[in-house]
Amino acid sequence: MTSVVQPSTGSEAAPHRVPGTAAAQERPVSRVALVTGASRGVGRAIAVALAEQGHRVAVGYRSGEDAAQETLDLIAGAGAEGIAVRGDVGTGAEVDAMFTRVEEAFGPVELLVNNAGIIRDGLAVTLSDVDWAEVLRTNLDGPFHCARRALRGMLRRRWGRIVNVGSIVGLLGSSGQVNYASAKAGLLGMTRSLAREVAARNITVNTVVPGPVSTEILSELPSERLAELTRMAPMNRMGTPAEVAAAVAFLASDAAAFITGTALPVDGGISMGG
Amino acid sequence: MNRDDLFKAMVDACTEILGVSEDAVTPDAVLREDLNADSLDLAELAMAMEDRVGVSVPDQAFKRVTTVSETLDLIEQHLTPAQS
Repeated sequence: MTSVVQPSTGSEAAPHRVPGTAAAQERPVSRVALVTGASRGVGRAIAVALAEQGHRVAVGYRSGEDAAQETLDLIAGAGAEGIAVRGDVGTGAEVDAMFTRVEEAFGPVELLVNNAGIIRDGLAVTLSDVDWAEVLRTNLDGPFHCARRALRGMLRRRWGRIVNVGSIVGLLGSSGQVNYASAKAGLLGMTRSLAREVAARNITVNTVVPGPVSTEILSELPSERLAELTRMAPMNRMGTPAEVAAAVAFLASDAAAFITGTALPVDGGISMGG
Repeated sequence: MNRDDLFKAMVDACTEILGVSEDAVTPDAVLREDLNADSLDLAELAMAMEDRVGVSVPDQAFKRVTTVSETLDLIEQHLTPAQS
């Protein structure tokens, strides 16, 4: 299912620019972005933030076509072009099809935001194989599938930004979330390895590490766990999707050209000094 | 696709990806030493040849080639009857 909110200009993606040149600092360039899991929550906020920077944004989603359409409406409201691309990031062939649709509409993906994720919480001792595997497949295989596919074009163009959305539980661990925490911790190793592999090609790979953020996915956690997480933050509150999106948009920008392989906490101070 | 076609495709790919002159891409040229290719360059060459020739060569095999000529040998091994 593919729908374009505004007709594509059909123009090629923006030409390369040398980082640090005067032109790079003066005039933002419209690039092609793909945000996975962008039909709601943090992903939606990221899609909108990138749209507000003038980028053309592909909204990746697996289910929830209406929600994806709402994100597209917000992108259009920001004056940018958007397209919805449906697919399961845990399946390589579907990822390939998603990228192909974006390429047909806008050109090669220059900014990839790996945000799609699921939770299937349970204590390790009774966690089913399915709940373990499904979370790893979506939250760890998914970013790898997308990064591998995106890198083909980024390497050719000698430019790219990959921003992964991690989680504080990947650093701290979380009782009842061994699958989710393992995937998010794995994402940091993936980030650093990819960053090293492609750094010489002007491609940066980073991860933002949000603390608790007021979204639907978090509302599935037990209330006592939510209260506990909130108390952990020196700021004594949860973050907002827009606050996470701002960090992602920065790492995806030309201004962050010399930042790669990092894990940027957006957590109200929970992980400071860790 | 005959050997000459493959060689031309390889020359194109090397000049584009490695930034070397066409003259430098000889059959005996050693990719890593004579053409200054690093491991990521080799991966890009593999992708570029896949695009040009339509042949996918396993990454592990491509990493072991040393010269332009060996690269073409490897690709020829993976050509289907319809492609050769």
